[in-house]
Amino acid sequence: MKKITKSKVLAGVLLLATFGLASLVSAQTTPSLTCSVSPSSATVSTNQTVTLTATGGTGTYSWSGPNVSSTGSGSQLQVSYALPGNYVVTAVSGNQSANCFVNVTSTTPGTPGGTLICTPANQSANVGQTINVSASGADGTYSWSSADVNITNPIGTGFVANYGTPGIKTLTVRSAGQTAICTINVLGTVVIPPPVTPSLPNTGGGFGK
Amino acid sequence: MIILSLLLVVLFGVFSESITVFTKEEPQPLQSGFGSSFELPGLPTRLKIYSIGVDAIIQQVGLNKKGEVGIPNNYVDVAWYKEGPRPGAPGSAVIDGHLDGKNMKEAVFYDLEKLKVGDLVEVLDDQGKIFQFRVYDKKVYDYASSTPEVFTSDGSRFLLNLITCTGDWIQTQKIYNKRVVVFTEMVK
Repeated sequence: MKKITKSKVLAGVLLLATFGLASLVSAQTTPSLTCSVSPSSATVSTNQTVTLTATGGTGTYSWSGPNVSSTGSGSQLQVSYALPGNYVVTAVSGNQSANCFVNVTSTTPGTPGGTLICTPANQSANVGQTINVSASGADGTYSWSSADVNITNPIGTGFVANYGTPGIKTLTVRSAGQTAICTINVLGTVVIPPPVTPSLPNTGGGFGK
Repeated sequence: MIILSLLLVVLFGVFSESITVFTKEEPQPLQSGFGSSFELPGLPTRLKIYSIGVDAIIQQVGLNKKGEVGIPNNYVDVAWYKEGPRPGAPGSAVIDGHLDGKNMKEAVFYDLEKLKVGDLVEVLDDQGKIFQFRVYDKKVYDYASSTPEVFTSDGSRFLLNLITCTGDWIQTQKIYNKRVVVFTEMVK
């Protein structure tokens, strides 16, 4: 049986202490990796630049995701998107990864998610003449109202109206908390010439004739 | 008798006056008009008329140099008059198609005139929506007739009118002398 000397015990204690300290130091210098978006995702619009910031990890970062072409290792990344949608960008540091979620909404008038518009915004019509308007943008569902006409069906993308009296008439359309107005100048004295009636088409070839 | 007659005349006069008084119309407020919303249709892409075996691509045409509605550039497609409303929108949409060709006996609308009141017509748009119409009338016009009722309506109805040639062949002009129009209205 081998004899354990004091020097060997001391060496073992020193080894254990060194290893434990190293582990402790290592744990303190690799905090959890997180990724944040600025400005917040709710306010990001198409083509707007957002800054993604990674914190924690080892201090060096790599980024990946749509529209990400960064080859650097910095903690911040700037990115923008031309189309509305939900995008995920991933930051990697050491053996950790974290996702940034970028929610891009449109601000282009008349496009889904964009500003609500009523088209045409202004038009003229004669008394008794039927007019058409349409809505676009916002969430795609539209509710129409007007003090000038009796509305039989208020829900739809288009609206047809016919006025019995002259004056400035308005049609209000609402969608997703937004409001837009079409204005119709109904003329009482000016007669708008009717559109030219096309001639009937020539759709015969005279087979066998 | 004379007294009785006088009494009747007086009573009738009073009664008539009272009727006149009560039937006087109160001033009516001016009509404010009507309004209604609808779903905007997409561009028409396909026409189906099962009862006469039509399943055709829909081309788009305007007016030609003669002021006539354009026609499809082949015998199997039909053509929607794009200066008018889209099928499924308020007003009178118009689609035409060939009856025949110089070397083709039966073109896409060869059997159009066989459609009867109540027959169904379907239009598919580029958004995948299907609009269904029902035949309610059919008329034959001289080829040179002015037919505003084919192209315009009051906007409160959703109409689709189908046109092709019929009648006799005018050899000197190389045209048929009549046009048949099938009037359909969208099924709600």
